[in-house]
Amino acid sequence: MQRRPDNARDLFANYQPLRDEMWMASGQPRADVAKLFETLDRFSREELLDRSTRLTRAARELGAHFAVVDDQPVDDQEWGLDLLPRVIAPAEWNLLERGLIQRAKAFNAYIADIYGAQRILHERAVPHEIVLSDPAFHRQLIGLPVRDNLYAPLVAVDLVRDSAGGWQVLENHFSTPFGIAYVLQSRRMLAQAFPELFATVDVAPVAPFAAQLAELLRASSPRPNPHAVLLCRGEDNQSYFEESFLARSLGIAMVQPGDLLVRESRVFIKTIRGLEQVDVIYRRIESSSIDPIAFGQSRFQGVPGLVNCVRKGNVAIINAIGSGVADNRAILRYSDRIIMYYMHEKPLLKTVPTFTCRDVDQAAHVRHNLANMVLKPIHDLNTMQKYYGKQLNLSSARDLRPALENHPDLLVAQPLIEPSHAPRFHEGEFVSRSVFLRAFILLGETPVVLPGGLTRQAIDRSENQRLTIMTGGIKDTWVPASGPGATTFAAAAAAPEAIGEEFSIGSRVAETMYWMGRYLERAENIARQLNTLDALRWDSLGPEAQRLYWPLWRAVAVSADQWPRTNIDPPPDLPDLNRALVLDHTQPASVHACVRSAINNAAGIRDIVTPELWQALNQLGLRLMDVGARPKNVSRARLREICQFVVEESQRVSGAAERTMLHDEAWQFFRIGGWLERAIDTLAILQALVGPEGRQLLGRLEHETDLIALLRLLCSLDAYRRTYRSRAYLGRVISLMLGHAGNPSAVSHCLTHLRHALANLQIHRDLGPANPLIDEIAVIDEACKHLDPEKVLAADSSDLLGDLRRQVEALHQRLEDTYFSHQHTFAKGEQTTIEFR
Amino acid sequence: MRFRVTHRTEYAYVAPASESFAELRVWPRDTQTQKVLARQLTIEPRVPVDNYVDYFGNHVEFFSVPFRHQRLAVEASAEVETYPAPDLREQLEVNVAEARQIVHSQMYKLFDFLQPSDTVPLGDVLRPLKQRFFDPGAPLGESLLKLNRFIHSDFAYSPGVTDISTPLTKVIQQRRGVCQDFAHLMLSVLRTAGIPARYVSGYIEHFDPEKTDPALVGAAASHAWVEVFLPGGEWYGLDPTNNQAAGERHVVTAVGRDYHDVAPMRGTYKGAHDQRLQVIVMLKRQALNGTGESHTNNPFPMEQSQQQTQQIN
Repeated sequence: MQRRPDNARDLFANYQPLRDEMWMASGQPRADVAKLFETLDRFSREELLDRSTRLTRAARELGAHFAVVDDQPVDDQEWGLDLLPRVIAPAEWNLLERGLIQRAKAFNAYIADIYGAQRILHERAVPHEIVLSDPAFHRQLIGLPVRDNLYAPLVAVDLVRDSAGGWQVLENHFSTPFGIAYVLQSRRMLAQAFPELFATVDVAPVAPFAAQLAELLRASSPRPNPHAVLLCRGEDNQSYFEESFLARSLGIAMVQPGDLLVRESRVFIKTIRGLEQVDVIYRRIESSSIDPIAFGQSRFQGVPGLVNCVRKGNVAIINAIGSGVADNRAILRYSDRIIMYYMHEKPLLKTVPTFTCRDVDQAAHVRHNLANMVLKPIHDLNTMQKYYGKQLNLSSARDLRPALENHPDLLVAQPLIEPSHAPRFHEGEFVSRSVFLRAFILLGETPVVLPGGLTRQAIDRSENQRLTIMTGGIKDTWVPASGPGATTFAAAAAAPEAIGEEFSIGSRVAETMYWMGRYLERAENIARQLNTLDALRWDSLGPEAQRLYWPLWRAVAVSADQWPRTNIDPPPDLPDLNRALVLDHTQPASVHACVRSAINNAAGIRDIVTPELWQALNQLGLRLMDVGARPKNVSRARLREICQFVVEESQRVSGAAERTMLHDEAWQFFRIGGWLERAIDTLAILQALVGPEGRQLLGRLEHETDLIALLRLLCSLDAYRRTYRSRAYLGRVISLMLGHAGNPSAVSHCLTHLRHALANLQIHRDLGPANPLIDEIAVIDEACKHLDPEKVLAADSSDLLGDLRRQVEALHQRLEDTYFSHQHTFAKGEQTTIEFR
Repeated sequence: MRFRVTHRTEYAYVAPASESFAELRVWPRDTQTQKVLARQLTIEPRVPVDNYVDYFGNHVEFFSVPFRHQRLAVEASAEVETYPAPDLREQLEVNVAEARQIVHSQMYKLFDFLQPSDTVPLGDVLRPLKQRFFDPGAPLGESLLKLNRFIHSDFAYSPGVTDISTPLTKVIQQRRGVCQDFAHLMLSVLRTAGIPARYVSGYIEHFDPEKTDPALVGAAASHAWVEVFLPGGEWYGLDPTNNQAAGERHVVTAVGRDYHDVAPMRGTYKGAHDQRLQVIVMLKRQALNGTGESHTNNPFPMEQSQQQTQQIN
């Protein structure tokens, strides 16, 4: 048969295999993968390029789905999934499987020993100073209960295959193994982009691993239907992708430390529905940043008291905190000893020779052979920085040589190994590149190894020797299926994935959205009000008029917390006050500070905030930062311009939220925050006017028809004109601002919307119509509608508006109690003096 | 001697706090030289308290206040009987070189008490002292007392100049501090010299009611000193703040590698950052009337103890 001139086999014509796993030096593929290459052979270069593009596109799409909204776009090169899978030979896999389970069990016994009797240290099989000085060894955790003494049921191990075809362990990952999501997704993407390949080899499926992990999590609690959560920090794109994917595949909620609360040695998750007890935590954050009380000097927030919940056996953490002692690279040197000590078996897998630089002689050896060595910190760099913070300067990850002199105890060295290669499709041809494997083991009732693993492959030739988990390319990793009928998954892979259970939204997210809404509304209000007031031209008013109008300014300044409520005299320099009200971010309630707070809130929930909303908000913040850098240089005209800009941009942000965000419960809280803030603001301004100092002004306003300024201030001029079609009368203005449901600035309008938003929350639909908070709001709303303006204005009236304002302000605490902090649900306990002996 | 110790910590928050959680180490230890006869802990607002024993053998109590509160008061009281220290003369006569050798054979057990920490850096930090305290041939006891005396005479006791975040280098430079600074300094010298030592927190009787001794100095809230591991396996208490060995008038609460292992109260809460903290420690010698059992029930009702409270801080 005549081949097309550009078919795949010809792409191998110039292929130069180097220690190649899949392509023999003789110029033929390895026998057990011959069919794979035959299939490849049916495709032309163009077709392969097309498949490769499909893979890139799939990865990009996935990246867009899972990326945290970030200033840096997700680099789709990061994924770099190759179209040719790596196929591990059956005999090798068989050995790997047994060796990995042996290792995972042995090091688990080691962790349990270190947190228990420390037999291995007493018997000096491992030097005690390595373990006792390990920052991952936490004395606080000694004696904590761990189910079946199995600290790390989920294990990852990094391996290289050397030139002789032997596998060697490079590193352990017993604390928070990373990368499973990449394995599962790579398989899915390759099956979609290149299904033909899957017909050639009987591939063991990887997807069941997630189900097995979910089962293991459930089995970690003695409770019948345990509530499990994934605890993470979601700090960068890479981990956010993995964590959100895993949470979804495992069908559990993804939470951050602030979502959890400890009470009487039990852990609860705060949701807008209330508190739900948590039984199992799938931990994705480093041990020492999990509890600021147990780890006193931790730089991270964590969940105060969590460790004591573990101590009392009320929650299981997977992997157990403290498991990181098995990741200390300095003990890799003793791997064989550890395996023999606990398993009483010969180690099945070799470990790359590792030199502990804490030891003077080993350090000397390392110095003499530096050219052929890779220096590594004893834990990965990220973890090291968490332990040692800024005081530790491990210069750059690339060059640790200075650290060899300053912190030898924190370094290990491994000789450069020559990893095996595999073909990689690169720019239209196959090139030989080194590969490295991260394998995953699950020590459930029956230990399993994820069939395959995460294969990283160098993209550039220069990376060939220094592969890490961060290195360029990924290869789907195939191992032969052990049972019959295991391959049927490939065809199904194109179907949409099942959607996990819906969780009630976390209180933290709701609260953050609520504050974003409030801050944004406040920023807009202050900016608009100052702009309106400026039109009154303070400078051209006589001293008498200044005294009269001052209460208006004061109301704005007071509502912005910028001016003490008790101070009744105008400041000598009003323009300065105005500038501070807008630009001074150190003043807690200036426009600038409000915008910053809104941005900070948004930054904490980047997975919820849409890029459009984030961008609009960020632009507003950047502009204010620009101008605020030199506030003294800002002229009056410029300040008005900025105020106008803030008003317009705030509206753009609200619009972006409305138009681009999912209208779920989180979004409702954004609106709720805005309405509450607006209602309070309207009341604050009115209250200032009818207060004792405002009265004189009131008379004058009505007389001089300057009520228009007041209406502008409250953003209600149009509403007034269209409602009354008359000149402004004070009584009508009051009615319009309190009880008119159609006027967006009216208190009643805000309360009505607030009530509807609350009633629309799914939880209330579930609970039925009875909700005391909603009823309370309705009562206040009624009061607003029926407040007689004459009574409000009557000189002898008691503080009607003040009462109203206090009631509306009190709604904040009610919202907080009901949806955010749940502090109201706790009745105070009985007398609790404890006594001993 | 028999003492009644009351340690009251009160936080008044400007705005209500919520989600409080705290861990306490205010439960005196049972040791060779002291015995806890009775103990009581009261938390206001009233919440359940749980406890455990930590790695260093200290009793730890913890609680959460999961509702809004304007103030939090923790009052720990104990009745403790102290006894004279055992005769350690023989162990203290060993010379420094021998002591080091014995310690070296037990390195694994003593490892923690020879290591630097953020609070207790070793080595170079001590250079400005321009002193060597441990001559290999000199008796250990003599050398320790020399060190104790040096810190007492060269460093001024001045409350308010330092706090727990003040680094040791600054304490050495200023030549002033309070008991915890002196304890950390002493630990640094001892560990640098290869002599295992640990941090002790507790209380001290300020003045002897039976004598007209000059007042002993204690820190405002509680006291701190060190314990040195002696070749015979005993821990020997040294109080550099008062230039003496720890004795019957010292009550030990907790031991650890440095202050951070024994902080009397460590907690978090949600709310405004403004708070007023008041700590009152009262240590009162009791008459030894031999009717021990009567104390086991409720030896000192709260009202009474409040009347007797004298404010130290």
